[in-house]
Amino acid sequence: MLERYARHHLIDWWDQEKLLRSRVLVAGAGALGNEVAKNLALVGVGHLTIVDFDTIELSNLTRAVLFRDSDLGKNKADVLSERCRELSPDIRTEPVHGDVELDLGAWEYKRFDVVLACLDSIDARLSINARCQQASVPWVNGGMGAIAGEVAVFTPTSACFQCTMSPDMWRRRNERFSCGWLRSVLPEKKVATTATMSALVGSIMAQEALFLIHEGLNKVSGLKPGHRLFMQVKPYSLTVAELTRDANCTAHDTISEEPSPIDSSLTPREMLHQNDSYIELNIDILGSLICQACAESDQILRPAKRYDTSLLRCPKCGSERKTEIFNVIDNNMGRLLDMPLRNLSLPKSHVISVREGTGRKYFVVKGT
Amino acid sequence: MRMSTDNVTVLIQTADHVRKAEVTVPRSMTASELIEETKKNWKLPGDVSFRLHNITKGKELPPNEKLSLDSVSDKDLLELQPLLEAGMDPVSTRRTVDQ
Repeated sequence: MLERYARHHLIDWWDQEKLLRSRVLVAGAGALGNEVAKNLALVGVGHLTIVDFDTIELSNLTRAVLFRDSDLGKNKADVLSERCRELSPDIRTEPVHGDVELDLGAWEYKRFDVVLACLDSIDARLSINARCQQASVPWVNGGMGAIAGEVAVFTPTSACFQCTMSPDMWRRRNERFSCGWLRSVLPEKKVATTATMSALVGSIMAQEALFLIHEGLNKVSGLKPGHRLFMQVKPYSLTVAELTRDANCTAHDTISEEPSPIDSSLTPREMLHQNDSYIELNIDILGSLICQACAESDQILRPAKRYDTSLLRCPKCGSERKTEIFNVIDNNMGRLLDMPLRNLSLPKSHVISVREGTGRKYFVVKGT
Repeated sequence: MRMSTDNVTVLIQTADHVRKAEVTVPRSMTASELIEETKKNWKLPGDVSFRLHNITKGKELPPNEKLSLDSVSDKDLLELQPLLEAGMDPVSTRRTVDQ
């Protein structure tokens, strides 16, 4: 099998067997995801997990190198996984038709040596940032416009993506949500991009993944952790900036001990052993929608981000309903205490924690 | 002549080098405030977020921190770089499940 990669052996620092053992998550299977996955498949990264909730549309075909006309309407993650195996039959691929935050919990991220974010929004990047911080996994962010691109490398001890968030970035991110944290139904802004920019940015992201796989968290080749490369093609320029770690950043919430596995049939009451203890769910749950005009409420009990604001309209009277959102469960939450955790539709291998006094214990929820 | 330590004079430019100016601003200003002021003066797109890279020092200015003596010196070159969000084709709306 290694004969396929014979040319790589001429590179003194290259370790093909290490690459074949490595596991990489490609988050987003659009233009950048295609470029990144293509490169990693060609060099022989042994296991690629590709996650995307979307299906292939005509406009994707001008930028996504591995999609074809015959793929229209198919799941992006499925098609990209299949094409990567065609490029490199020795590797294994795992498509996930889902969302990087709502379908993959922090301990799913722990399985990977590197995560590559090929996404389209600030919110999705914040989600990846939080998950990777929790799981202590390095990640590479990529972004592009019509004539510019950027790549940044983040590790658990470097500056993180959230450290660099300005008030304007927070404002624009929050515009995507209602005050009840349901997704806005406003059309997303269309960004002009080209196949040339996705090829440039995707290649650098894949190169950074190779350095991270070879050198680990203290990598010295390429971009240092907590640095961002910005390139422009009109006129040509390339700069690298060191980012500053914010000591007060709330995203620096690393899971400090191996979480104990628990079954999703467990109820909060079975986990809370003291009066003042509470469960941190690490995800916002839409508990119910309350229509004051009809004096009725609908129980939802699923992650709030799974819904958009069209749900706020009462189906009976048309009034705007109020949302009840929670992200902790304590001993005062009545009926929720006896409800199995699986009813909350938590992401796969989601990590929750129980606070008791000054102590904190982590649990990874299995069987969601 | 004694330089004032209350103000700092910097060169600021856009990433495409189309706009460039020397400006004197108070050190009490945050990087984020300087970005917003520059966006307004140069009529840069309001729906794009920017970051300020101190090219001279090789560091991005933390958005909420003031232009301190440590982070910005007189004559430093600051570049306004857009936050590049795209990586995949945006969709008009996200899926909504179980309605």
